[in-house]
Formats: sequence, structure tokens, C-alpha cells
Amino acid sequence: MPKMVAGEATQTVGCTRSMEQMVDLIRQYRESTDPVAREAFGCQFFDLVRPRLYAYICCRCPKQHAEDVCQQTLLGIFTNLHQFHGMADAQLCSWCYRVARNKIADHYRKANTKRGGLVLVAPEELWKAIENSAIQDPPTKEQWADLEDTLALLKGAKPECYEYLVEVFVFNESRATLAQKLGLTYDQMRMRVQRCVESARELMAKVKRRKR
Amino acid sequence: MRGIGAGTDGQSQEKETVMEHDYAEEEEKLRRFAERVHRGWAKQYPGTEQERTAVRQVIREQWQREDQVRRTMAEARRQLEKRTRTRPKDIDKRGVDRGHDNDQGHSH
Repeated sequence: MPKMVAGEATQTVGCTRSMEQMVDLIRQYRESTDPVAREAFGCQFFDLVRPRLYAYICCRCPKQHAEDVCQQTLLGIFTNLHQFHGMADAQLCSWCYRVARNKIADHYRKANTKRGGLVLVAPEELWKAIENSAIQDPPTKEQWADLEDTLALLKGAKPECYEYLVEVFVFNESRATLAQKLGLTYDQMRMRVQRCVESARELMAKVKRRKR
Repeated sequence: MRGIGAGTDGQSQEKETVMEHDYAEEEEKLRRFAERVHRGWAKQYPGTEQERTAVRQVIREQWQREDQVRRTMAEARRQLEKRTRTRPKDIDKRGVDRGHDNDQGHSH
């Protein structure tokens, strides 16, 4: 369980084992002196990053173009991967998403169409992904209960809160990047996310009381 | 999150730390939820063969570019070392020559 520390370190609170592997993989990729090893590390990174990139792109671009944009994004990432020197998981995610946003902008520019709005992944879609994950690795009864509680709180969250929680925890976007996008300071963004988690806690408590 | 009528900076900071610590359980549940979502997406959106092939190609090309730069720099270093090794002999010769030249320069 990652240690929760106040301040900047809370950016890593959304990190998972797979994210820690990603940053480690990038370091090994950059430092490898053998082309076969470099390709192997690259493919492992591809397997980790591609799914969430695709999901991220689907929120920002029509599905029929998502595959194409995703491929362009991956090529952009791998072409410049040797230039990424960050050490934090959230930095890596933000960097990859930045490439994705640029490719999405390029797509709309080439298509000469107006950019669509952000369509966040619905809670039902998140649950579908969780059910898929349970096929080979079924959660325990207690874990299912926790997952259901978390889904309930996400469903009950205000739209603004839902957006923050999904961006920070599901997509592991850094608070600093979110702050920049919204024209806020880092501290303001951090407080907003904390308020969302606080109201999520109240929602969780309500759900538990209803179940009794 | 500072409460209403918070006291000194130290007190409000302590309250903030306590409240941040209280979020740990909720944030951990959100983190585990996200981890499951990522595992599910890995099955739903594994990537196309076309993408993998294109990415491998980029990795190889990038490697070749870096390898070329490494070789060029290694060659440049070798050339520099070679020039540095030959320099001391040249100075000795010059020293000997300088003495001979000095004699020649003076008019008696």
C-alpha cells in the first residue's frame, strides 16, 4: 500500500503496481544497451500504456477515429520516449496524455471539424472493465464490497467531482497538469480533489447506512 | 481544508494533516478500483497487431539513430585521444629546435 504523505507526494496516490512498473520500464528502456532488450522493454510498456491511452482518447474523440489517433499517439510517445526523464508515475501519465491531446488536436485540425467536448467514461463502463478483470482474477467477497461501494460513490458524486476523481485516480493525471488545464494553482487543485474525496467519504457512509 | 475559526497556522496545518490522513482509506479504495479498471482495460483494449508492428519499427529506428550517434562520438573520442598522445613528442622536438634557432637568431 503506498504511503500517504501530505503535499506533492499525494500526486502518486493514484499510482498502482502497474504504474510503478511503467516508470521502471522506461528507465530500463532508456538504459538498455542491447536492441533486443530495448524492444522487449518497449513492448512491455506498450502493453501497459495502450489500454488506458485508448480509454483516454475515447473520452475526447469519436470512437470511429480513436484507433487511428491511438496509433499516432503511440508512435509519438515511442519516438520521444528517450527524452522522458521524469521519475514519478503521474509525470509519465501526464506526458503520455499530453501527446494524446496533441494528436487529437491534429486529428480535428486535419478533419477540419469542430472539436467535441469531453465525454468522461461512464461509471457503467468502469464497472464493465472491473468485471472483465474479475474473469481471471476474481476479487474476494470483501474486495467486491469495496469495489461496489466505490462505484456507488462515483455514481453519486457531483459531475465536477466525478471528473476530478476519474482523472486523478483512474487516469492518474497529475494534479499539477489538471490545475494548469483549469487555470488553478496546484494547491487549489489539491484542495478540490480533497473536497471531492471528503464528499465521496460522506457518500460511502450513506451507502453503508442504507445497506444496514 | 481549514475549518471555520481555525486558530494559529500551526493548528490549521495540524487539522489539514489530520484531514489528509483521514482520506487515506477512501483514496486507497479509489486506487484499488482504478487498478481493477486498468486490468479490465488491458483485456478490452489490448492493441492491434498493426500498432505493435509500427511501434517496434519506431523502437528499432530510434535505436539505430542512437547507435549511430554513439559510434560517431566514440570515433571522435578516439581521434582526440590519438592527437593528445602524439602532442608531447612534437613539443620535445620544438624544444630542441628552439634552442638551435635562438643561437641562429642572435647576431654577434
